[in-house]
Amino acid sequence: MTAVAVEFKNVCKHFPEAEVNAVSHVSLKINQGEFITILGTSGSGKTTLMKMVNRLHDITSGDIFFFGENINSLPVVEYRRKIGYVVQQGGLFPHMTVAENIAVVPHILKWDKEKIDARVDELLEMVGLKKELYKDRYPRQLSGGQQQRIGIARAMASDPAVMLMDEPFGAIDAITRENLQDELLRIQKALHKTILFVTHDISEAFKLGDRVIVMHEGKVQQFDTPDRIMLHPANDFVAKFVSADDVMKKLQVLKVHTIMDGLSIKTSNQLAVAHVDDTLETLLKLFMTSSTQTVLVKDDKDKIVGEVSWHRLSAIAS
Amino acid sequence: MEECGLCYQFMKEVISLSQKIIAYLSANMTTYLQAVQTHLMISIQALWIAVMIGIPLGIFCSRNEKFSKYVTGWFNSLRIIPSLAILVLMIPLMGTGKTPALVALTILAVPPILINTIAGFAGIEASLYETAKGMGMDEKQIFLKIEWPLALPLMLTGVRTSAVEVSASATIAAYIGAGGLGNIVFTGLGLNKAELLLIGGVSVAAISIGAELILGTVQNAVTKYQRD
Repeated sequence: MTAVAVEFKNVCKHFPEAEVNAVSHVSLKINQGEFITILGTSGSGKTTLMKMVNRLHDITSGDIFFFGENINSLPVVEYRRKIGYVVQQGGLFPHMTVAENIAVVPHILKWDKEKIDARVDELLEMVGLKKELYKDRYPRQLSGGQQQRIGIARAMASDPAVMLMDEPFGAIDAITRENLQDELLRIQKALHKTILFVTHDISEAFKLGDRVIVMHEGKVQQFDTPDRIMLHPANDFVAKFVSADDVMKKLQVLKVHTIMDGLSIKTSNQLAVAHVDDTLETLLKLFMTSSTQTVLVKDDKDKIVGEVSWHRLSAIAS
Repeated sequence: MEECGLCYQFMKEVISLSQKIIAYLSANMTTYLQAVQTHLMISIQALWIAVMIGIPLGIFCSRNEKFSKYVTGWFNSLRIIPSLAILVLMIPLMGTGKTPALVALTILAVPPILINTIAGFAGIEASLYETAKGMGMDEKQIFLKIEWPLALPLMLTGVRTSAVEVSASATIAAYIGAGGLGNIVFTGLGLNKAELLLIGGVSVAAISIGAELILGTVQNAVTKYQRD
């Protein structure tokens, strides 16, 4: 059984002089190892919800539990060191080199020098930056994408179980963003971090999240898997927000495994093969270029696990 | 022919002035060196006191907006008063001598340091502060590792400005009995001796430039991260 990493119990946040609650009566459980995206427009309370987890915002009422412990009962500074924190543009300290930035938390945890050095090298490799080239550079000598990679490496330095990411890829160009998203997914699959990732980008939220929290006016509108949100939006707001009735949107968001059937055909040669995590858009392209009636589906280990018929795919449109 | 005559006349003047300078320096080397020393000492003392007042006060002001407005307003109005006026105003308050001169020079030196310190600390992006906090730094660590190094370049700009201002103003401090290179300049003015004016003036300029160069080098070293 997986542990509950973060639990919200009837949590409200009210800022002084505001008319309504920024976050209103939120109760939900986030399991260890889950990648959760928090989706909403600006002012929806998504960032506030996240910042309450590392106590950058105090809770007005209700409780948040971190692996079963009420976060208000923990010493705040030590508690924050257990949580990785990534902000937009990486939030790197401009007067520190890449290595110094990554070493911030290990340094305050008083690791010895060799351990810190080894960790910095390891993390640079993990985020795909050559240590000889980047270790001694200053943040302003890096591109936005590189800065963000360092930001992620820094947040992971002390190997926290939970990571909070506040629109980390918001100001990055589309191609670099795609790469960073793929890298983050790869890292998360390898290390099984629990991630809370705030974004206003629907495609990003659905691509990255195992489950998505849709926020609006401080309330959780729906908390479910991307597929279920797309196919069964909880209310009109969610349906409209994620354009659930837009066929193209569905194709972009839904993954092959949601419409996959068990294998029924015997011959597997000459048939096109898609991956379980490909989007239906990719699948559609495969159908169009291979002109077959059926596409096979493989998993991460290249094993054929199912098939999708053209008929099944076209049913999405209706 | 006439032009050449002027040339000749000018050259003669320069040579005679050089001779007078050498003659003065060889006869009064001790006095000269003492004047330089006094000048340097009073400038460094004033600057040091100004740093001790300006930086802590600036840090306090950057955390306290109401107080900041009051203090910067007060020091800015002091700044409008010309340095000579401040020096002269010291006489009825404290009489003449080194102490009133030191007080006056310190008053002149504080505003640039204070204002730049406030700007340095207030200019740190709030997001950096929040990131540091979110990563688990306590207040002391945030101050020492983030705020101080980020504000340092601007603080040094303030110290640089003050250093130049103080070392130049220390010349007129001789008026109220502070001694230093100002004594040589004022003696030169009184006796209409150009060589004394030159010796005093060039030495003061050299001290100002020297201060500027030294502090500039320090500043370069701490702002390495801002350049490629």
